[in-house]
Amino acid sequence: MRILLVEDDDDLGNAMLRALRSRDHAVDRLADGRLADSVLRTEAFDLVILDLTLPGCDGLDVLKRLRSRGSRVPVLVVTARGELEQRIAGLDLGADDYLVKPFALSELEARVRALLRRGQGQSDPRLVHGALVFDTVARRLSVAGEPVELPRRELCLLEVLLGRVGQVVSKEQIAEKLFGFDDEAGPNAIELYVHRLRKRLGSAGLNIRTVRGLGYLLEEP
Amino acid sequence: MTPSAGADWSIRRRLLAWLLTPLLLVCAALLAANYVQARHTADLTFDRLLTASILAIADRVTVVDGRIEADLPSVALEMLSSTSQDRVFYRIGGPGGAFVTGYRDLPGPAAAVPGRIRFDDADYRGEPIRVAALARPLAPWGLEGEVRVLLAQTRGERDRLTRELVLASALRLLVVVVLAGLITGFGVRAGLAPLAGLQRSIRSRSPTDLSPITQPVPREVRTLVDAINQLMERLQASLDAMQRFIADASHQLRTPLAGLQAETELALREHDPAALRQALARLLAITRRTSRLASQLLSLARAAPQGGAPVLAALDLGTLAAAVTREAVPAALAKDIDLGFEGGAAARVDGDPLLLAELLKNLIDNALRYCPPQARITVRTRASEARSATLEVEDDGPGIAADQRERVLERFYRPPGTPGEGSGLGLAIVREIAERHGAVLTLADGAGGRGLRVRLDFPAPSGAEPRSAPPTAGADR
Repeated sequence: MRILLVEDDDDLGNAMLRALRSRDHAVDRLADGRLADSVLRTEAFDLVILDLTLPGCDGLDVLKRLRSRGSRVPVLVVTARGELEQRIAGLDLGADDYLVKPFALSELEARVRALLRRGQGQSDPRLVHGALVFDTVARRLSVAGEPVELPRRELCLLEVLLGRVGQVVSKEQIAEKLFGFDDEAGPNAIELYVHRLRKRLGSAGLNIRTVRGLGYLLEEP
Repeated sequence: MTPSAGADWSIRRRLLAWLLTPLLLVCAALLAANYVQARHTADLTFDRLLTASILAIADRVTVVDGRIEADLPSVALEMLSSTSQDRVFYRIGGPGGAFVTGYRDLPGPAAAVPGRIRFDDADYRGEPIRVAALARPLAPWGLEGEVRVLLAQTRGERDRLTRELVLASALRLLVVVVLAGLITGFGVRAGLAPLAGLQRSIRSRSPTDLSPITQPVPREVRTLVDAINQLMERLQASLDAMQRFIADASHQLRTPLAGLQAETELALREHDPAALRQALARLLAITRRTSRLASQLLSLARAAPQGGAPVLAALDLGTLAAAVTREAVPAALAKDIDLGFEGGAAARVDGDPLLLAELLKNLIDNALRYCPPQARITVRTRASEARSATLEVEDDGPGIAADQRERVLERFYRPPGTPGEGSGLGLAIVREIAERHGAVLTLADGAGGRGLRVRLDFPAPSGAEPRSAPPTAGADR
């Protein structure tokens, strides 16, 4: 995967460069905002990692120009803490994810992985979770290659959870996907479907945690 | 002159305007009155001469053979014209408007009452004149009707006298105005002198001198000076706090940096790969601690009063707490800790969302840090009857001994024997943010006397409306 890393600090930039290259990504590093802007005009990347405070041209401007050209390349904004909160709190600037400095390299790698996966989402309709593979177009589920039949609502619930692995999904969010306006969506109904999913797929490595008062979380495989 | 007349608005100018404008108006009115008076005086004086002359002329009118004849006395006319270049006109008319002698077209008062002299102002041959009119019946000569005598004099001499009188009073008024202006100017300056002194003494202060202004000031500016003194006191307090903070922060940052340096030097001396790995792991741990400390110092700086006024907006504490708790769930799962949330009805507070999120993050972070695996942490929000809101974080971990609960709120304080690598800032940040929101912070035992329960009671929001009403209702209706 081809990644553009825009980071002006040499120590951090080189460490990130080496970490990503060690994961077999083709990474180019730039330290100047204006240069990054002109490179992004002509070349295609699978992911852009963007610092906000850059010489030449502010990172936010690079991002704005990129989006104004209609590019949909995933962008991971990497920035110092106070800056993130003060400058972009509540603003949708078209970044796909934010990472606050200082961060663990493992965290960076995980975000990059997730964004690259999301970027492929349009071409690859499959959600893979350990031995589970869910085809979102055909709406078919298989465990270790064997097709598994699930009732419609359980399949729906599984899709919601698979889409947000490692994050808490609230009951309201689940109910939105599971039930239409006319359906009776009792609070116990979701618990029931979760219970059934656990029973059916627990052995296949599907671990759904109940988070008290907040919802459910599908653990990483 | 209104207070909004711009930046160049001055009390001195305002006072002068208010004092001098009425004075000038009064003087102008006096001058006008003096002019009227002077003209009247001049007329009185010269009308007496006119009276004497017209009587003399009238006395010389006789009727000879039924014809009116006037033998004009030169003395009478000279009396009038001798004093100046004033010219004299006369006209004598008979009954029925018949012209006898003099200036035929001389205008005069229409019907004079017999025996009484009437005076009038008129214009004749392009000059203003004063005309006297006298009518005498012709009965003594056995004739019907009356003889009418008009005697006119140009106003030159009268106007000269008027001017002299007016000029004299104008000079007196001018002296009054100038003197009053000078006195007012000096008076205003003297009255405002304490302000100028105050300005000088404030201006000559060194930028670091924030001691109160002690010089005596008039009662009118006492409250202003008091307000300035209070402001300076607060500034001093916040400067002191900032100084202390910088000193604390640099000290606290220097310690882990020294550790980093020492560990790095040791690692460089190491040749055994296994020992080197261990040293690097220690380096990573110290680095993590240092960056956590740095970010906590930043939160503290932002939460502290010198960080500027917080932006308090109406928000729902429950929604905010749920979102923050949700973000912390993965970290809790990684430690096998059961982190949950309990929130009922909307708990509205006036708060800064960033600071409140920071507060809760620190509380959850503390609980996660000190609770053993399988512990249970609950974040709870609720609203009371009085619409004040409560936020609680309760755990069943080791808790904090009762005699340490005050001290743990201090910056950089960690109870003796506390495990882990905390900075001692987490609860200090919580306290700062709570204080900025007027919330009451209480540390108590958790349920069943185990663990710790941190409780924050927020005051009711300022725009407290019935809870069911939409917050912006009314404005656009």
